Amino acid sequence: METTRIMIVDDSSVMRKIVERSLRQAGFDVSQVFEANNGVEALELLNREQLDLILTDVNMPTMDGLEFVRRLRSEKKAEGVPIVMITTEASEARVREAISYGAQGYIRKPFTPEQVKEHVGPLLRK
Amino acid sequence: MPGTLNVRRMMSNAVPHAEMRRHLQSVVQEVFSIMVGESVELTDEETSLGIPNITALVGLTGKFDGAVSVRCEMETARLITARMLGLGRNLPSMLNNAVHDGSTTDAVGEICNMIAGAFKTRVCSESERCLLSIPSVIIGTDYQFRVLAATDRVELNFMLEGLPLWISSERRP
Repeated sequence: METTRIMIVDDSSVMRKIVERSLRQAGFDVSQVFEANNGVEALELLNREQLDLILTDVNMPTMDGLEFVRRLRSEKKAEGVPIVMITTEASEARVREAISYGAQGYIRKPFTPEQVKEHVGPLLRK
Repeated sequence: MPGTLNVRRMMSNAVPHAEMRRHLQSVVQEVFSIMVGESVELTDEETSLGIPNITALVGLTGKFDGAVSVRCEMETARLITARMLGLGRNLPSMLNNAVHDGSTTDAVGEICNMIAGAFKTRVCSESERCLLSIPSVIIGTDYQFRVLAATDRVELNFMLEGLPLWISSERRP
């Protein structure tokens, strides 16, 4: 599997570590991980780094995940970068909303490494 | 008792109390099994086993209007944190002081968030609007908190590797 540069956006540092560990347990060769506390930090990071994948929480202070994904639409550096939402808010309506904003995948917390693999694998292969 | 909820108990006419209790038990066991890698056992033992000094709270609003809380002792919080981070049974010295770096409060807040989120999907249907707040965490023992006008309340006592854990949900009518 190719090496991957990912960004994890979550206001919980513990969750960011869990997501990273789940990706590695799922077999992804994560070469570099960038962490952001919220959408604002994530947009700043995006301007500095080249990414292969973005995983973001929804409920965050300052700028939530949906607003972050919506703003990514106008960011040239985000073109072609898959976005996966990881959140407790996994109603059908929320999933549809996230996808309409530009997310390609949606993982509900709590999650297993297998579920991460199932949702992230096809996006990284594209 | 310090660190306890203080609410009046009445029955709500939405999801029956017994169903609410069953859903809460089920989601707690699911979240701990997946995210902590440990099973928690429901117990009838009273809270005399310990005094909680960390409380995480997530509010729900909409069809289900209330809150979900997770209370435990700091030792339990450190165990949860270590397991969530895949650190095994032996906690690194860093985690002995984890309140200061935020890991412990973060971990218990996230557990509460996941329990509240999963609980919400059980007690609200797809068409019913229900939103979660960002988790709040309180540290200490000499306090009480109230969900104003809360009525129906479920409180479950669990054991995690011999350590007590108190989890509750409550709602307004």
